Amino acid sequence: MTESEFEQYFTLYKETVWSAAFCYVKNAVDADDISQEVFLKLYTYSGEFSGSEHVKAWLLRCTVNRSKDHLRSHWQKYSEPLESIPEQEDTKPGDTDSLSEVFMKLSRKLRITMYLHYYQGYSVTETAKLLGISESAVGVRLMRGRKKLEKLLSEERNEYNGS
Amino acid sequence: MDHKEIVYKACSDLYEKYRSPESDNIIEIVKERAKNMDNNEKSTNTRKLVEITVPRVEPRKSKAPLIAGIVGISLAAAGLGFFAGRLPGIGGIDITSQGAASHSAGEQNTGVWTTVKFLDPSVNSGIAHEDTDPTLYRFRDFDVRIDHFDFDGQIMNAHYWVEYYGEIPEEALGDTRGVTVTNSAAEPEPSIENGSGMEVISFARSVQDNKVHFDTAVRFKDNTPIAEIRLINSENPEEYTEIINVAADDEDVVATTTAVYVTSEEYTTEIPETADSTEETTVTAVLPDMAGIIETDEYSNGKWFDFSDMSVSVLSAEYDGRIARVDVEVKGNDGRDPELYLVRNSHYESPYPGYDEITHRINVNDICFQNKDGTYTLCMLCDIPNAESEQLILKHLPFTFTGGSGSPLEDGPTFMIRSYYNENIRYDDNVVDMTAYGIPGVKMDKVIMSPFGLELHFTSEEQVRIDSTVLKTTLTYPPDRVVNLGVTNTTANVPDENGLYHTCVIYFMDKTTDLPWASSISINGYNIAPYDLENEAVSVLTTEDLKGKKALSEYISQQIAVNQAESNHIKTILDYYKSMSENYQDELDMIKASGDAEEKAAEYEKKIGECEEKIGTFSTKLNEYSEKIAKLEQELQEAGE
Repeated sequence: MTESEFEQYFTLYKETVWSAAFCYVKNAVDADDISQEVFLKLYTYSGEFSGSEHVKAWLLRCTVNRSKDHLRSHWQKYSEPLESIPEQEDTKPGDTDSLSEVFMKLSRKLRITMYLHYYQGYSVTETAKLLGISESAVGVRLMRGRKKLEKLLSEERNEYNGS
Repeated sequence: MDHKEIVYKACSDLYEKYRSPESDNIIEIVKERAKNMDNNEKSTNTRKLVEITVPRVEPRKSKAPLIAGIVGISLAAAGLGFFAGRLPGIGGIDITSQGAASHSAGEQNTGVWTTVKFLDPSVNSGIAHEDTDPTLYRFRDFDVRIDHFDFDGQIMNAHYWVEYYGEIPEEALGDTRGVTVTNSAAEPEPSIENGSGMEVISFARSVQDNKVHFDTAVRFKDNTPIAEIRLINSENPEEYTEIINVAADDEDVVATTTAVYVTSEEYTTEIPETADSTEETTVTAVLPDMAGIIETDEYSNGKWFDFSDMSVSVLSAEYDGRIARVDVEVKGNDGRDPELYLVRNSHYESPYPGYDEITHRINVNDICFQNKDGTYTLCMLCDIPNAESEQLILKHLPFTFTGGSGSPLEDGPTFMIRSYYNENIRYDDNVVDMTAYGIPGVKMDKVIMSPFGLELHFTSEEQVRIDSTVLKTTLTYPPDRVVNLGVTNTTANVPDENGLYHTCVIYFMDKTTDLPWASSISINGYNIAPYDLENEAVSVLTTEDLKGKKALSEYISQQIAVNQAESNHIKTILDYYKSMSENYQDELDMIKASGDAEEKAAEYEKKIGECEEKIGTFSTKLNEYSEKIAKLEQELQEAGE
């Protein structure tokens, strides 16, 4: 891959990769590390891609794998909750800020699955392939994610109305 | 807002909102790191198929059988042959299959009958109905008397009688009447009738006087450890029982609490009195992700396999480490119920037992099907516990067979099940003397994160009760949140040949959600780090990978052909320039020999120089292509291995 191609793909997918990593590890610094690793892999990769969508899927698959590895290797030094998300004040239920916070309260399995399916627009089959799980597992995660999201949003609305 | 919109909004500015100051420098860091990398470190593969072979889980040893997750269903010795039923509704079954047609109101349950039971109710992981005594529910025309429910978190086996006040109406044995089961614990409340979230995987009904006995296995698709059951009179839906809780849990625990307490994220209740604490507990119970694959032979993907009197097509096949499921479509059966068997090859010794006796367990669990435009779609389940690799064969009993000896079963498509688990499931090799931790004379052999959850294995010289009354197992989450785990199952003390007793205690736990966030696990004060327990990502060589492997070989072959063609083309050009160069050289020699036309000689020298340059360029290219082809051939060889 030429440098200009790499830069082009980096510009195109840096947010995608970073956000996927962040969905997984819920920590900006770790997401940086993972993004570095993934793009380094792309930079040194001499294989061929059939198009930019292929590159994107490749990057996301790398990101998921790298995130899993990262969580495992991270264990020994892990001493604090991986919370790098400051609580936002003055957010109303339904605000984008508020939705992000609620979304990040989901478990990482649910987050990454919903991110790939609902945000990146991958089908259940494609999501299953990217995550290396069965389609039925994706279906269950999406169902649980929706349910949990509804519950969290409802709690948030109640809290807001109560205050 | 719908879910898609919510997630879209939530994710739309994750990068902008949460990125660190370093995030903008990633590209520079990557380039810098790439420069510093040794060339050897750089990837040279055009495409690398990641293929990790990992050993499967060792089969359970008899000295310490696990009770959790055993959903062994076998043909009971009392019954032979297959029951052919039709959804929907427990009562909505048409008794028309061979051997079963003789049953009618008032007859005893004799002759050909199929009863599906768990292997051993005494060690069944699933328990039960909240009441230990049989319960009676009164309806307008009949009573329902519940014998018991078994439940393992996935499959519920219900045994109950419907006792009519008068004679059993004929319609009660027809298609539409009877009792329907719903699960109000699920969202939206699914029932067998609407088919969402639940499915009947086996059904048997026997009639005695004015009573009908139902023996039904229902599979809950959402893998919940609890179920709330209602029995509804399908004739009069206004009539239904109160909610009956069934839970996949330890028998003793269930007996002491009236609430379902094993929880998922959505369910949180108090732990029972028998546990060490009355704190709130949250245990997530999930079944493992798909642990295996099924490879079918060529009779899949829409192809039809022809038996002597009908044909089948394999719609899908899957294996979750316990239950193999094969869905097939049948045609050419002319309205007759196809009798198909999914047979474990290695356990199948007697080709066909006949109707007079079962000489061997054939491991056929069930067939369930529904009408579909005159054809049938069948779902066949086969219990293959412990994620074993196994060969299955689909067999068919010809319609013309009317009984007797012989081996009339015809072999159909075969399926190979392969299971893969990571070897690192096993965690702690240390044998811990638990005397110091409150259980005298007991040693903890190992701690395993298995597909069934967190397993603690104990050994003792005498029979010792090891359960929630003597065990306190907690997960600690940073900074200081402690969660008590509720015992899910406990095996009985099983002696081995050395006289030592073995017990296994199991906690439902999610290896990917619960453990990674915990900082430690404490077993009666003995602390272990959860990191080692975390199941390394289960690496499954999927069917897609296998397909990908084939595709990769084809892809590389194509690449070789393309590069070879290009190489040949370059060689042609190279030969042309070499030939031209030689021609020019001859011309130049002649010019030089004639001793005149220096200008012309210079022109030819220039032409020769240009040819040499081209020859150099194309020789380099040709070498590059040769190297590339050699590399591809090497990859092709690797891909084929």
